[in-house]
Amino acid sequence: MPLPCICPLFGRGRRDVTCRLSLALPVLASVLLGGCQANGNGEASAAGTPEGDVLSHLRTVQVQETREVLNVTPRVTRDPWGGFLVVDRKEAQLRRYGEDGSLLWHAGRKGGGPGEFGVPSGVGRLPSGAVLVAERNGRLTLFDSAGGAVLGTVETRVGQLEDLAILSDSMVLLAGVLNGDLEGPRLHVWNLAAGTLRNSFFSPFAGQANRAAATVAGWTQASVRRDTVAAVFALSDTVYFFTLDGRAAGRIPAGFRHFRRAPHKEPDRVITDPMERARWLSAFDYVAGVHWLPDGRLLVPYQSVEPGTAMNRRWHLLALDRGGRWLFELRDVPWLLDVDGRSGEITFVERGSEVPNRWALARLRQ
Amino acid sequence: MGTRALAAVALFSLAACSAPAPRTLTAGDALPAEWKPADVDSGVALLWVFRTRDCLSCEEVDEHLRRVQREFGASVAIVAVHVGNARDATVPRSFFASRRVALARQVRHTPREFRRTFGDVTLPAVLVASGSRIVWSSAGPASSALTPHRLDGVLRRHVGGSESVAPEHAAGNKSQR
Repeated sequence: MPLPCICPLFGRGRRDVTCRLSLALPVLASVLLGGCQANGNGEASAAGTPEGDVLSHLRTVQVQETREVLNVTPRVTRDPWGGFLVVDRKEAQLRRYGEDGSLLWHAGRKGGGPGEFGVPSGVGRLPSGAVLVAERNGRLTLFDSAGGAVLGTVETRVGQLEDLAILSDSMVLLAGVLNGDLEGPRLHVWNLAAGTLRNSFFSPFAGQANRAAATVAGWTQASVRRDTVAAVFALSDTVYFFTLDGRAAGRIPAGFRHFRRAPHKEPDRVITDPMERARWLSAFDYVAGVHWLPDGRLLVPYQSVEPGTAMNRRWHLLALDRGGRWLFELRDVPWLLDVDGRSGEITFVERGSEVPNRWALARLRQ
Repeated sequence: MGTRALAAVALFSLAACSAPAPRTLTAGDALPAEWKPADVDSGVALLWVFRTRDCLSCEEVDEHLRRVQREFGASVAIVAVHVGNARDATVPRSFFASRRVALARQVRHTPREFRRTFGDVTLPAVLVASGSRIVWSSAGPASSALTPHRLDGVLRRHVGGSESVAPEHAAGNKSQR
């Protein structure tokens, strides 16, 4: 799940604003209420929790930590080879965990050299076995299958890169801003073999009434199922569909019932006071992602930030069928880390865990 | 200008002249007793003195704090000095919990009592203390002095125990708020 950056540098008419520093939001710690009643390996409901009626708990994973490996802002994806791949933005690290949470290896550290990271923002494994890490500044680094060697790096010119999806050994879908053009397309098919951009599409910024908010919360997220891309923009309550060559394939209103939309009116001045800025940022919600489930249903997590908890995030979850029919919407679910489009397994930070090193795997009830 | 206005100006001038000089927490200063962590064999502490707003900004001091706890472990105590009101106490608590920073001590001063005790201090500030003395400081947001190289170098020299407690001044740490 995205741990997007919400940058304080914004104001009316400022188009040159780019997010220069990653706020800790992401970090987005967990505002986790209560405790999940189900543990162990059998399926059980998370009874007494908002998600208990719609999710079956599968198992709990305690992820291994060491003095060198701490989960602060993990971005998690299921590894096709088993277990989990993680990049941690704040720790500038790539990790592989086994199914049981054991730490298999880790790589990377803060820096700009090969194998070092500024702000890693996405990870995936190619069919060849190589592991691809995206950084927020647009750099891609290819590691060997065990994270032991850097096979190559490339600068893509896609900044504010917040999401990636592996399409093949040579193609990857990147979500970010090309050449700093906020108005331009946000999804890009990158040819890894040639080191070139194949095509770009999805330009949601132009339709945003509140450009200050759309600049600050300007991330795009996408999920690929077969040859269809589902995409969302942080402030837009619509799910957009595209073919991989960029042709629009429809859109559905997300149909939120509890989503707090950004105000149409921009702030009338640049907000520099962090307290005031935090209050402004907490006044509306942010779409945090979109995920295909194997049967074509869609999960759309969204977030709100809380100044009173150092801008940690509260997570909410909407489910739709492919036709856009509203299935359910829950507020205050645990921090959603990943949805595996192949198995349908959903990884959360375990409810009640103050830090993201204890994960709960669940599946949507039919 | 009437008599009353002149009196007001005079009073103002008098107040300005007699105001205490601004004070900066810097190398060589005594470490306030209430900030001193207990149970640190090396006697070395890293302190972050901050306002509530510093937990809500893009400040990335937590990365330094985690690196120090990873590199130095229990040899360096990490102390948080929050300058803020009681109603804001949840902010730093959440900040340190979510950023995985293990504190040896957390202290809170209201802005008023902090100013009364320490004067007009540039915040946020990162301090290194050895024993009962501050031996290094870096004040102000995004201080260029706060680099891993400089900070870790200072800590290494003092954790070893061979270093005398001689004050060290970081570049750019003298500015006043």
